[in-house]
Amino acid sequence: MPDIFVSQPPPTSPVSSPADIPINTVENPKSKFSYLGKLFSSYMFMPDGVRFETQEPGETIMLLLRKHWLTNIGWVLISVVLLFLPFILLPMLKLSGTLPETTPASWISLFILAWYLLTFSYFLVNFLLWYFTVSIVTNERIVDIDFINLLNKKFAETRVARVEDVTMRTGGFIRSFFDYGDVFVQTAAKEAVFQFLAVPHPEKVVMVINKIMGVEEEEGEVH
Amino acid sequence: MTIEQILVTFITSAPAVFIKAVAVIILFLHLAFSVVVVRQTKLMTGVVEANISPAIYGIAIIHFLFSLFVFMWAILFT
Repeated sequence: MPDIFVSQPPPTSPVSSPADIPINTVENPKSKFSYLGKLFSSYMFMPDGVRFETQEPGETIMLLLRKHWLTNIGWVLISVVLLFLPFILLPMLKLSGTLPETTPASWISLFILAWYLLTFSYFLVNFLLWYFTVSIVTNERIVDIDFINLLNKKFAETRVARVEDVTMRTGGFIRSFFDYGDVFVQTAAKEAVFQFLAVPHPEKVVMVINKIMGVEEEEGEVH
Repeated sequence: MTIEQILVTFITSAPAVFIKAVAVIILFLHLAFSVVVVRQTKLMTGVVEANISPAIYGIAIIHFLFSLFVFMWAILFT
């Protein structure tokens, strides 16, 4: 006899631990290229082999965020232009007569070496500032590490339990197309607002933080 | 004789020496900067540790060695 009524399966239990949060957009590395992509990713969900200075025992990194790669396009393009500029500049200077024919080869060599040294410095400093300016969401805390320049660092953290509100903002064609935006975490801590600027997948970031907040609240009720 | 006059005499009588002196001073300052980069990279890799951290530190050291090489080049070969 056919069933007239089939009961719906019971709703899945709420998230009981951060490990249950089913948001993982970082694929397993299948090639060298994707492995490199993972190392320099701007959005890492539960990254392997990453630790931060004040990480406590038992604390798991849920999200590691950097500015979207597209925000680097300015300095990367400038670096590429600087890389090729001597090939255009030197023949032009010779042709126009600005660079005398009697200029010793050692001086030209020094100019080229110094040029590439400065280009290397420009690229390295910008890369370091991008790579090490991170926002970290763990199962217990939200940590914001900002390298304003090579010598100045700003470190802020708050407990997830102190988070009051999480909002995101995205707008404009480029941000919408490449799916990145700003996430603001309002807290009751000393640092009132944590700003994750130009991070990829802001909706997912908000979702993950909200889920961790839910887990924290549940744990708080149990205890 | 004022400092300006000394400088003008120096530049007009030996321009190559003047250019070399300026280049060496600038490259020395850059060498100091590259030392700061190495030191700060070590601190940064301590703040956020990842598998790639030693490679990034290595790149900072290569940058320092390149800076040293150009500095020595300026002194020895120009």
